[in-house]
Amino acid sequence: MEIEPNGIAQWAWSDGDREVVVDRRMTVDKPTAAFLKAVGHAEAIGEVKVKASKDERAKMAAPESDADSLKKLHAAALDGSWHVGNHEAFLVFARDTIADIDRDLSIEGDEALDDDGRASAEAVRATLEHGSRVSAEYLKLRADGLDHEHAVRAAAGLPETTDDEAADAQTAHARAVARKD
Amino acid sequence: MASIVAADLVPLHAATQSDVDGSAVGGAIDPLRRPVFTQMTANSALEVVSSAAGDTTQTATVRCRKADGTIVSQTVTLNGTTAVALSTNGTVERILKVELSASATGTVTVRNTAAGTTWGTIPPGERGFSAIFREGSSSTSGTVTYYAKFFWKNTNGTNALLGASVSESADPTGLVDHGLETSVGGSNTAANRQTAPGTTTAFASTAVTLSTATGTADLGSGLAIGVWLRLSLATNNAAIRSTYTSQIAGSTT
Repeated sequence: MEIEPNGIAQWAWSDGDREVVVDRRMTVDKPTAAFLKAVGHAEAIGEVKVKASKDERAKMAAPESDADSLKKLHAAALDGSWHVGNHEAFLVFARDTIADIDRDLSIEGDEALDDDGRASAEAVRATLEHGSRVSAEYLKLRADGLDHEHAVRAAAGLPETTDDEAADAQTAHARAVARKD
Repeated sequence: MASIVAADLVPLHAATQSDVDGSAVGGAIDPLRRPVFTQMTANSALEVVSSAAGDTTQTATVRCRKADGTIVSQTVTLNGTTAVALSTNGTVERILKVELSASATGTVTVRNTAAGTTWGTIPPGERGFSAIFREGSSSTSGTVTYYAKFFWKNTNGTNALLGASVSESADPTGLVDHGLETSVGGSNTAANRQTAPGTTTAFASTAVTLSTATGTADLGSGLAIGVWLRLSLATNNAAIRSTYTSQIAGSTT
């Protein structure tokens, strides 16, 4: 097959034992099945341009369709695993945003925030810190074995709910997560 | 149903992002991919790892910019809870895009090698994340303006975000402002990333309420509002590695 990077300096594939670095138009003789699978994915998202034989094309895997991923997303929200990942993602977002805010608050002189800007930044910071405490507590409760709905209520300091109401709420939450329109 | 918590308000990409000039951008919401607004704070080599041992069939493609400005990309196969180093990408300066070939069962984390700082995660079921503005450049002959769209989505199963408003919480460069689409769940596009989209509120750095933009004050359960960002580069603007952070606020029962 002939392969070249698509508008970038280099695309590489490795599986721990072998490595292929594509930094110019090149010919790959006898590409392995694992390499062809990865090339299929890389081509689909625009990292490389490929000229391949019919046999090679047949082994180049297409990425999972978004429709199939959406079904998995809904299932992950239903079983609660998405919520764990979402709270983890929120903690990264909050950490970085708080760091940005702290940097802005530390600026002195002419570039310093005015009183309104400082108050606004500090309010956002407080909200993110609270959200982070809730998410951290949620993740701890989930790690301890509590289901999603009970954990989010406990973490947020909300009244408890029945198991049936929790199950219904989690179903509704899963629908909201996977909704596209 | 529990009140809305901060993590229920999720930023998500629009269907069509663009790394190149000349292609349409925007569209409907992409529930599988998130924008990230902040960047690595220091150059480092990276690794990718899942929280689920069974995630061994998916590949992860990580596209980065190196300190010399070149763009490199590496595709590796996940190895469950064993981290896979992106050793051929080597030390990189910023992460542009991470994409999985298929959803994972666990949370996939991109972080500095040796279990260092985490820069982004992909929750189970989702497919990736990428910088909101990437691979653009200023011009020697005039200003350059880029547009990018994302959505704020209320993923709470029951409650609406009451009196919702979108504002910026950090814009260190001062080069980014925003406009909201005029309908919830809108699928507007722009002809390309340097052409202004139609049907948004006027671009500004100040907060925009949902009521002002759409006539509806509340962002209902499962609904999303499109937010267009505008990056205005001056002639010969220096290269930028910076952040921009949007926020959505409101109240909840």
